Amino acid sequence: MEKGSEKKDYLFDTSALISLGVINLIDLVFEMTGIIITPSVLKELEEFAKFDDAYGKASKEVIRNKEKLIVRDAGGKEPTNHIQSTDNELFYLAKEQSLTMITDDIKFSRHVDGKVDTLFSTFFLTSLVSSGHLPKEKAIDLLEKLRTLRNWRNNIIYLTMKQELERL
Amino acid sequence: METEQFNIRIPKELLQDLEVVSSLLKVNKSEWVKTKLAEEVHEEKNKLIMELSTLYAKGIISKEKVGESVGKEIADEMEFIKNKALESAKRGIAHGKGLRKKGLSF
Repeated sequence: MEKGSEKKDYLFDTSALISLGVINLIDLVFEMTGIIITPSVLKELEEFAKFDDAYGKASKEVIRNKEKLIVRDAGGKEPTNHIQSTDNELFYLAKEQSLTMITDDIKFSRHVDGKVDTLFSTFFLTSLVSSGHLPKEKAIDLLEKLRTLRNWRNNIIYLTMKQELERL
Repeated sequence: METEQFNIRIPKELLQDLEVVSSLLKVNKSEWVKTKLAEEVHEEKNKLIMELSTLYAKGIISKEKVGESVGKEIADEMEFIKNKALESAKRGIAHGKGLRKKGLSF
């Protein structure tokens, strides 16, 4: 990005970073936005990176750019019912600092709906296409690649996004 | 785990086959049938909900129709996911257009 331009910062959870790592968009996303994470997300990524599977490779991709990550901690926090402590940190940081959170954790996203702003990581696919940095056909291919876990939830995300990409 | 009785009539030949299977595997007949049934039901349920999700995502059936088939909880979740995916897509488009307007390249 050009020097002096304002990059909007987004808060990312592990699931979103792994998704973007799986489809090799991490470098581009680092260029277009400030990536804020919490210490527990960094720790989770480091744990995943110990393995050689798809998640491990994706985590390694993210950690390769560790110096570009903005690691922030939330202030005093009370446990939120039904969500893990990692998610708790993310929730409080997003709320305290009015950050938009990028998460592919549907359960978490539903829990915090209405309390903090969340988006799926596929936000970056349409952003990159409409800014001219990614061809539409390539974005659709990457969307297909994201469907590594074929369940009905991901199916809805895939079909909805594909429809929107095809309209561009 | 709470259980409920479910009676079915099966052909004699099938019952004899079950006897053979349970004898060779050295398992209880009922337990083996319960396990196999659970696996099949789980797989079929996932397959059918997958098909339902496709129809819903494409706007071919309504949330209400989903609810009638699989219950309000899944219907609500499907609606949330579709709306969030749509929101993410549209805001992404706006974000990208903003970057293009500013003439930002990277």
